[in-house]
Amino acid sequence: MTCAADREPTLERRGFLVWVFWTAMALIASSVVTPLVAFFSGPLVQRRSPVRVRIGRLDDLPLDRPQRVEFVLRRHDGWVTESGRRAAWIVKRQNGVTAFDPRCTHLGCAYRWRDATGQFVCPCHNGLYDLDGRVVGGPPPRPLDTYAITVEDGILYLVPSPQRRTA
Amino acid sequence: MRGIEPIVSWLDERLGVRAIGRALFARKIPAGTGWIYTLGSITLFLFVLQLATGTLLATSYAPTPDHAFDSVRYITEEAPFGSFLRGLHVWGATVMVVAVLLHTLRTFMTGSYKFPRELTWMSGALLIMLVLGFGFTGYLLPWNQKAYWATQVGARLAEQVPLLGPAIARLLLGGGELGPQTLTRFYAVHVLVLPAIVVSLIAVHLFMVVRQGISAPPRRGEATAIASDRAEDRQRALAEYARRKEGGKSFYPYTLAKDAVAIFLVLALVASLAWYFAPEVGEIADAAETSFNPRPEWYFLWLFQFLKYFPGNLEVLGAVVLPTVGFALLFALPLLDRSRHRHPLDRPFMLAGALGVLALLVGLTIAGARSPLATAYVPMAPTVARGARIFHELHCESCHSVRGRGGAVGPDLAVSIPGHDSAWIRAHFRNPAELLPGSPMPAFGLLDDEIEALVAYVEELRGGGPPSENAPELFGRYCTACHELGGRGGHIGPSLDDIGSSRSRSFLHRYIEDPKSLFTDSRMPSWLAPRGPLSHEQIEDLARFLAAQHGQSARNLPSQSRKENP
Repeated sequence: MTCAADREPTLERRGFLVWVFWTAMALIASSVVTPLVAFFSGPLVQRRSPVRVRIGRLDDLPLDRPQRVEFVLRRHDGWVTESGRRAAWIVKRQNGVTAFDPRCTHLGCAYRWRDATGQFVCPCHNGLYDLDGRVVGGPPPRPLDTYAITVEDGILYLVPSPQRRTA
Repeated sequence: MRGIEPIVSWLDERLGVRAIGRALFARKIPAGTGWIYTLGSITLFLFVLQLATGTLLATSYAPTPDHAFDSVRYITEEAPFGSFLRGLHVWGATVMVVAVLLHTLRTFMTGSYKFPRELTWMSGALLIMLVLGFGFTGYLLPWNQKAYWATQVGARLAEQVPLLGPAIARLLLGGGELGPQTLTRFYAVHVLVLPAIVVSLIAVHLFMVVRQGISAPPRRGEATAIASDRAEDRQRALAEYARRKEGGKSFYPYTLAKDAVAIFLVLALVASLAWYFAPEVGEIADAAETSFNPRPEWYFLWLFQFLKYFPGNLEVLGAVVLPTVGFALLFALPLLDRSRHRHPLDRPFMLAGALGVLALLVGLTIAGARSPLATAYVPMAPTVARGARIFHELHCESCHSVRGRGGAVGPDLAVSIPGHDSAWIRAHFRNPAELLPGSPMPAFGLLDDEIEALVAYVEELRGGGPPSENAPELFGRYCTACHELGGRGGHIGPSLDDIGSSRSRSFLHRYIEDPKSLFTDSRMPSWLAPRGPLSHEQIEDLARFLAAQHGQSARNLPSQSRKENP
């Protein structure tokens, strides 16, 4: 027969083992889950250094008329180094040059220039932008995104990573 | 805990979770099960760890020959925690094989495979084979030299199976050659087929463990029932077990706390190995690189060594027949062993047999690990290897030759041209027309790291950069006693007039430092201080000097020609 005095240490031992079990499980789970989550979340912290692309002579571009330019972008993407075709819209005005990311700021469709109205038109939901990329109609939430540009010795270069502008 | 009570009740009314919980966690475990009884839980945990790490690795892995190696390199060198994650997977596999073997050994020693647990053992024997299958298929996936050649050997072994061998090898490889179809097959088997089978089989294995209870630790002289005994004897054995089980403590928390602590320690071990001994990326698989020494993963080394003892026509015995018989014996052990005893000392023949097999496996593994490499092999530095790949991808050899092989439009790249140092080459790659107006070389628009890799490769071709002014003098003082160069020197060792055409700078460096590490029968002494007279820098100087020797009079050497024509 077990009396109360005997049972006391057993209960203490049981409580201790319960604590040991749950502590060990918490340590195991956290030390396994941490690297897994960090690995999976890589895209949140990884940023590729931008690449500068040569477009052409600035003098060759027409004034006040958007020009669609295509270029080849060589870049690392994950484990692949690829050369892929990209495009940009270049607008040369009296007061400077702007390069626009060729995707509508609404949902990313490729917009085009309509000469008759003098507007950029998005074919998906009828987003409209003027020559400076400002929204003049439709659902787009903000003006067209731009690319950073530099001009050296009359040659136009751009960095094809979109920069947001506020409305 | 009170807060979840209504949820538990809700679930219990629908699913009976309380009864399930009691059956799983409140079941009694016979007294005396010590720490060695945690090996099964450790194995189970390691398998779950493999599933978790493997799933994450699969998010950044491409199972095609042109991307597999690069994606593994990306995981290892660029992805956050990638090296650690891959380390957990690779070391987890190794530790899991050890845990499986120890778990099997424990079950064998305590005679736990006997009535009524024969099926638990048999499902375990199948799981051992599947774990080795995981190892074999997973080994190929990094698509590096080790992977490629070990799989090559594995496929040839399969070919040895009588009659069906060639068909099995073709099914394994997905054709007649190790290639893209092999990789996708191995990948699918590794990440879909084997996990599905193993998870189901583990479920069966665990169901039986719970159903029959963990075997009570054996006692000296105690006899139990066997399958062919009369029904009442078998009932008596079951009743005796039930009595011992009742005398034990509940699974939770008594056994589980021990399991959790053991698992935590094993995880700490695997994590330390992954952190401090991160697995290497290696060199990309190359069917043309014939100086590589294939070695299997350590848990196949016993077979690798075993095969050396079987001459040609008997090889099928070592490769197929004996391993199959061995596995069949392991699988059928509970049916073959008719003894009623469970304590190892009551089963001297079984004990001796098991220890004999174990000693044989350990001995073969050690002998395999220590067997000398057939040819000396020094791998290229990773940047150089990457440069070599870009060189081939851009088809540079259409215009440039390397040691006389290739196009003749541009200059031979193995020859250094005075004034064209790495800075010049770098600028030239960026914009060929800038330094050489009218150069027909196209501007490839290469990224900075690609240019660095190409520069490293060209530097390596040219002997890793120019040697110093002192290199010819160093050579004259220490080497000419045995080696001839440009018509002068001894004949004890080979002439070194054309050594740069067959050996790289890194090879020569290592060879001068420690010849016996590359050729065990080399008669050349080690030259590195304190065993020899030369410093690390002097040896590098000599290695560059020698790597630039391409042909009879070694006239391509700027430093030497300057000395001879003052």
